Amino acid sequence: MQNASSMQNAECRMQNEKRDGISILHSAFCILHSALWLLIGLQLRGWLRYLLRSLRTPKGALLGLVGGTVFCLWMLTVVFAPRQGGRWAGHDLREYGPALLLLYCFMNVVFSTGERSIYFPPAEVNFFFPGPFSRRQLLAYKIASTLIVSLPTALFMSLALQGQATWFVASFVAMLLIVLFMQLFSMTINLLAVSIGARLYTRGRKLVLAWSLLIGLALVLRVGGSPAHWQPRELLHQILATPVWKVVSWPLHWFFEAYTAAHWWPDLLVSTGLAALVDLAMMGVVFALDAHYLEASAMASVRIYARAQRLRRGGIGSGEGLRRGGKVRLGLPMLPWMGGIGPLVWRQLTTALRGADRLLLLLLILAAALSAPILANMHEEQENLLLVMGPMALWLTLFLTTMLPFDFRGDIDRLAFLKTLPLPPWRLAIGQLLAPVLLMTVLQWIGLAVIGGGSPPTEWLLPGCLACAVYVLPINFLLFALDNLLFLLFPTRLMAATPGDFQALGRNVLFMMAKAIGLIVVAAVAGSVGGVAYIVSGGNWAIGLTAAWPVMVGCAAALVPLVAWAFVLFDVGRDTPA
Amino acid sequence: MSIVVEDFHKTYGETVAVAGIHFTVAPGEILGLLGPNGAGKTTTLRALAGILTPTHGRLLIGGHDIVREPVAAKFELAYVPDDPQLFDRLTLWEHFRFIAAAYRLRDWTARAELLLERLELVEKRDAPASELSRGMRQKLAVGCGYLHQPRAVLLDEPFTGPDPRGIRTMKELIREHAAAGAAIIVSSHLLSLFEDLITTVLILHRGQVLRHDRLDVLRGELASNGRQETLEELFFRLTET
Repeated sequence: MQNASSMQNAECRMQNEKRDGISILHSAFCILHSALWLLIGLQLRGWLRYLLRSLRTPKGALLGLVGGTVFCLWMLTVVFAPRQGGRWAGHDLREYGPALLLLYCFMNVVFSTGERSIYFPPAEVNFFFPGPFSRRQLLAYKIASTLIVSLPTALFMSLALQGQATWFVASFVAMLLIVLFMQLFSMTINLLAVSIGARLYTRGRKLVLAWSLLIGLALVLRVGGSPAHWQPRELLHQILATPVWKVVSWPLHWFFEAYTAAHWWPDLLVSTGLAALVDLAMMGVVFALDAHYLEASAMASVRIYARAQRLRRGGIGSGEGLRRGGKVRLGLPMLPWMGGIGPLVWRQLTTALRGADRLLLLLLILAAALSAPILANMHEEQENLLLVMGPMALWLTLFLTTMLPFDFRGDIDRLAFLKTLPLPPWRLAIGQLLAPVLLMTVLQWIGLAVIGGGSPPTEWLLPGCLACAVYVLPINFLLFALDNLLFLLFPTRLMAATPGDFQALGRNVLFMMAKAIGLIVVAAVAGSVGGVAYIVSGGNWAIGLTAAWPVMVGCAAALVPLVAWAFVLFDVGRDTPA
Repeated sequence: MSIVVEDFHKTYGETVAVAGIHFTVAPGEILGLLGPNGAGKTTTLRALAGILTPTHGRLLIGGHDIVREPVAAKFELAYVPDDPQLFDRLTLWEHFRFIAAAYRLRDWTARAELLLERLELVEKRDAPASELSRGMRQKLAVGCGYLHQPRAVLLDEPFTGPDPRGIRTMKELIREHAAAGAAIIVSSHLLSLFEDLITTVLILHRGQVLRHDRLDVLRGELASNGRQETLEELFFRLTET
């Protein structure tokens, strides 16, 4: 039996090897090993089984119900929302769409710095690479699985953009072909990088960038004349009207012709057929390259898997960027004992410091968001600036707390160790919560200082900035405490969500609602006290704010016993998510 | 010969992982691959499995060159890595279904049932792989490896996960497959668990072969020299001098 199967396989392989040129495309469909088809089916079934299993627990059912309801409501609003007259459909999309798609492809070549190889998850490396599959069979599997993943993506995007499209069928088919094109383009670049070698690829990438810039500049100068006369929109129109652009964008414009098609025949069928041919041509390139990608993929898989494992364990910000030659360069002096709180805060701050790239990103987001109103109001009155910036910063903080999980959330696999520490739970809770609160507060203070320094002085600017600086501390504590309380009651891994996971959606919705409600309640209580003080003092804002602040601090501090209770309640054997 | 390694080199830029090694493993032979960390054991096994491409040299599995005829070579092969990764959402039985389809096996179910029984995984038959402990994952990977009755078996650190009974079963399976004519390479740090299993020893150090001999020859040599050395002591003597 063994010999028979070996021979059968050798025969198939010889047949495959004999095929060249256009028949490679044929092989793309034919060479997908039956076992790989079976695996795709089994994986889909396994995914459904996982979703159904997770709905069996009361918590899972609740989260699934909330997530499903929110999703359905959103879908209903999308489907039954009044059409906006196909704003994107028509001329604009046909004109600018290919340029955007080409821009994506260009950016993918020039700015991608990550793993340059086709990624296979570790289990696939384990079973496929030593298994009886040819490289092309594995590429065919990758393309087939990409197509299957693209289906819900395209469906979701078509539904989300339905208000902008002419016709759902056309938008779905076009979106599917576009998503597939983008995936195939990435795959081609990866195989090309493997074929020519990483060093050559990097040099080639720089050459592509230099040549593209030169060609772009030459085109702009030729079309637009002297820079003094450049009008951006006019210039873009003129460039898009050049024969060079017409030739370059010709294969891409069929995708957008398909998206904007109004009828089956000839619009949709012809343009879809031609766009599908473009995708097939890309597939042909992928199969023709047939590079020796297995080693590069296996090594990339190990690195990506290790990174994913670190993220699963909550090791966000482990500071890969700050380690050189296996040595850690940044450290903090140990904090005072403070009943055991000091070492806990030190550990979390050290972890955060070694993930400084994440902190910088957060700072950039805050700076960009907070400077937008300043830029927008540069030539106008500055009176209302703080009124705009304050709620915006608060709203941002509500979302950005997930970016600083240097607390219980990042310690999901270390909760057993934390339980063994000789500290009462309330001190442990404070020690765990303080690091992200301090970090977020410092980032916000930097943002406020930049805004305060960069804005024209007004009567309200300095007191407003000071009030914000004082209030962000209890607000941050409140938000992080709520996040941790909910996390300990409904534990999940930070990277656990998968497509179609209604529980993850439900969890996010519930968490966001709980945080918003908590903030509103505390703001109402503190606001009432502050309001009374304001009235009693005869309209003095400073007294009103000063009276409200301790109330807010008290409310935030009241969450500490709750977080400690949830930590005690957390059973590492039962509650640690898989 | 079932496994042939000829002048195998593997380099990563300036780093030499394996520097020109030769060895063969005949049908029925169990080769113990020994060496300290970084000796090139896993690189050799991964290259034999077709995951890494040799920088130079030839690697043959059942007479097929793993680079030139990868599919034919891999049909004869089973490779179980030290930390086997499984399809987390597939059940144990579904893993067997996939392997049976991949190697185009017919009438495989009885053998799969037997493997599940021997590896004490019957109760977990319909459980997803994500629910398995490390030892169980290793057992399942070994089970998947043996399902198609390969002629060449590569096991990287197979004794680090399973419990004592699991280790005993694994050893029995290795012996049975060798007796049935398979060529087997086992890499392990646990020399004491190794000694009663292997027929041949190959000690690798810094990518080179320090010693390659039959175990009984080595033992005889040690006895004739009047040394009262165990395999472990021999290993330390060779790799630390």
